[in-house]
Amino acid sequence: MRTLLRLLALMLSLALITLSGGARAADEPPVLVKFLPGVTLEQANAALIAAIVNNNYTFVRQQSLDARLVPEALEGRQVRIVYFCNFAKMSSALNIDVRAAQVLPCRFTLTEAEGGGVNLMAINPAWVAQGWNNPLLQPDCLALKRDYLAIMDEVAL
Amino acid sequence: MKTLRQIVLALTLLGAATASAWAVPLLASKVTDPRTAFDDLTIAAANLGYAIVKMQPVDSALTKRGFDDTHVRLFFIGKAEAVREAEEKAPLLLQMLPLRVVMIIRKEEVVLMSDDFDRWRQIFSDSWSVPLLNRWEDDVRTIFLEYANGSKH
Repeated sequence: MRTLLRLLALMLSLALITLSGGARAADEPPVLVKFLPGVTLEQANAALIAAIVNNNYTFVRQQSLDARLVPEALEGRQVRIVYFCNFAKMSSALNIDVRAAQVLPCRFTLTEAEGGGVNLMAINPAWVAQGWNNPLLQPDCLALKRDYLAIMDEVAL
Repeated sequence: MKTLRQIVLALTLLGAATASAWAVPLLASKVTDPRTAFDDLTIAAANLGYAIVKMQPVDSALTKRGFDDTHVRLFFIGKAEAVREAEEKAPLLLQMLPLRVVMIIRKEEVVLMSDDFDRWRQIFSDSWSVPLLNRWEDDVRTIFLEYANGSKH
């Protein structure tokens, strides 16, 4: 009887956490975007890598969008993907829910804007996590989103 | 006691029904080893014109830094036409390229998991994005089916 009551209380708590988490996440934009006026793709790329390191993440690699799909000389120069990671956070998230792999490693996409400047974009991990219905993972993904925004703000300085 | 059990059962069913309305990625699984799984994924992808552009060994990257083995590897697959088409028609979808395949290594089983295309269609529901998302999802589904059923060389 006591076990059943505990189970019932746990399920109700989880349902409430899920519902409240879902309500918060419903406000999440799917993509985080920051426009960087007056900079080249190379300048934005360098500033981004510095900001990643400054925010306690490890730069993993950068590549063009069509890297290894076309000869290197023909790779597109207007889009750049930058991958980065914090291994402790990655380990924690994957131990909670393997679906966290869908937002790993962390990624920014840089695209040259028509008329100059660069768009800095990232998929919002909090928006992705909203679809997982796992209240244990949502705080980590909200924290990850805050880190993304901090990096974007630093690049824009 | 019986009533409580019924309440718990009802809540469980409610939870299951709610969960089914949430995101579900494509999945494929078979009993094999990681090396063979990689080969089979490569062949299945190549049969649809996709190349594996990067493998990210998350498992070994974590263990060599002292973390637990998560038994997860990431693969990124792509083809040049998909990139060009997304650039022209739906630039925000470039965020999804190259397509991600998560490999989860269990004891004797290797599971593949995709990103959740339904989730993307909820947001990018315009007439340019949806056909691209549908095609990519169909491609990944075909690759996963071929992986699960055995690749045709």
